[in-house]
Amino acid sequence: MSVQIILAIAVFVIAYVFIATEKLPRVLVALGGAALMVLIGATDDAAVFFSEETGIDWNVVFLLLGMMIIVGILRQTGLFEYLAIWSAKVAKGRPFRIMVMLIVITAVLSAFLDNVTTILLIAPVSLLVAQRLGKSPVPYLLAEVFASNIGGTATLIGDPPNLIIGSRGDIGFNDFITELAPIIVVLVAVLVGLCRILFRKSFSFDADRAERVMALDEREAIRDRGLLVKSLVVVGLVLVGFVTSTFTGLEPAIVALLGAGLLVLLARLEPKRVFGDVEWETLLFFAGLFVMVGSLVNLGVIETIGQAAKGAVGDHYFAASGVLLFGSALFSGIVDNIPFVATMAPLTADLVQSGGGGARPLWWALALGADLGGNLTAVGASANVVMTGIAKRNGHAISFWEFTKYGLIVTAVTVGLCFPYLWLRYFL
Amino acid sequence: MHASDIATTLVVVDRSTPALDAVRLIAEQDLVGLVIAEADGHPSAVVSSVDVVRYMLPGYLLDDLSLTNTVGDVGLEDLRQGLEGRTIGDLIDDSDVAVRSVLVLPADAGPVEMAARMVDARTQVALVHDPSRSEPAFVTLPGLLDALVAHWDRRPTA
Repeated sequence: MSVQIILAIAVFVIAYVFIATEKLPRVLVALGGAALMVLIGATDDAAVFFSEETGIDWNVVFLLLGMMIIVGILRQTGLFEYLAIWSAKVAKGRPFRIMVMLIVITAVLSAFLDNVTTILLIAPVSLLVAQRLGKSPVPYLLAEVFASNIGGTATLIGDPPNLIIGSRGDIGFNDFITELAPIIVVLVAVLVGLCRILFRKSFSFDADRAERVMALDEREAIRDRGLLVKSLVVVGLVLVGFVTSTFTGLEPAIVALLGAGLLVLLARLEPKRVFGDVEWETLLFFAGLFVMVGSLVNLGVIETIGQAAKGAVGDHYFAASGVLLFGSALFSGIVDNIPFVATMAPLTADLVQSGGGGARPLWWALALGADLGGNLTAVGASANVVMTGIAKRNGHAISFWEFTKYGLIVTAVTVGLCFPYLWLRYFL
Repeated sequence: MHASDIATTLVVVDRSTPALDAVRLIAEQDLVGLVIAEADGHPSAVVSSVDVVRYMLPGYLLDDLSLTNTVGDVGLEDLRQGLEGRTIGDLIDDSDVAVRSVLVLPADAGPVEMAARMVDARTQVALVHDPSRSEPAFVTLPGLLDALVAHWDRRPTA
């Protein structure tokens, strides 16, 4: 093993530890690690900017950018607040029915928006509804963040790890829908049942309180109907673009950018309102990660590990799927699932390439494990951190262990159900 | 014109003052902020009226302004109920509320010095250190600007 390889592995491991422990801002670590990889010669400008395999995955970066712009404009319309209040009123102010409606809405929204945005949209309205009900908002917030992490698993654009898996595995929007959405529908239904049991003391009905919920006026949430119509038209076109991308040949990233460009043109908002929700740090974090992982690919480190993995797996893809599913869930519950999937994606690609169609379920095991594992602890997913932050700011602090008490049960049940799903669907 | 010339007395609250009373005080006297005194009556801190309103509003409404219009008249009653039982002490302890140490100006501070020091401290109320007065006296930003404008108006035209 050359000094260069040892240095590259050291840079990667140290960066990973810093990202996992959050001792430094993750974007700083990823970009610093990428810079060190360039300095030690593990990669170069040609690979960083132009290699599809070992450089920055522009498909992922620009798909994220396009969706951030679209969602950033759409959220200004008040549509999500309208939906949440409307659902609480449809539920007639009955606490459990409201929770069911909010779980379903969160899961569906989360399949098309990133999870953090979904929580930023749904948490304030849940606090308002819980206050009107005279209930603690904690069960509602926990149920929503669980639903968000589950719902986001269903589509290519629902959770950042899926973007990486889609790009590295050449897996399209429709593939995610057909392969993952069925089990996600089941898991959302299971989550509803779990919440009924876990939060059973929170559902007593008070007619006076229900009246206060019914007094909310959801129509007042919509402040700009013109913008709402334009946004919905563009979102519809973008979804059609995703679904038909196999036929049109337009990459999802191009579809998202075209949609974002069209909406910017139609909305005619000031730049701050158009780009205010773009998380530039997240985009740079992705870029840095891709360079670091790409450097290990360049130096043959990933290939070597891949060979060892192939030797260990042989043609036992069902067992490998199980290991990947549960291992990813455990790992993603403790550290950020984005660097984990960025690292595992080239390894999984190697295994799938050598194993052919029989090994393809490994991608689904990775996606299910990494995405659903985010529910395990309060730091398992960015959405969890955002939700606990909002709860604390509003006087309802949720401790790490309180979250984990519920998260452990939800993760064990949902990931546990994925195992027979993989077996029934791909290996029976 | 010196600080002691334009200083005025203000109602001072303390940690035990009910938050609802503090809101009424601001409303009835058009105050730009509240001066908070220690247990011995010595003014020690200032909280602006904006921050008192910030304390009055639930955090979730500030997180999502789209919700503010959905709450209706019930929302107004919610605000009152939210303040019941809370005191200025709770407001001081809230990390989201900016409570500043009271700025102390010398009695002979001129208008430009007063303006600059108040801007530097980002405060609209300053305590005047004037041993000749028995009660604490304060310069408020509107009072300072009144004095400035009056001075300009008295200036002989060229």
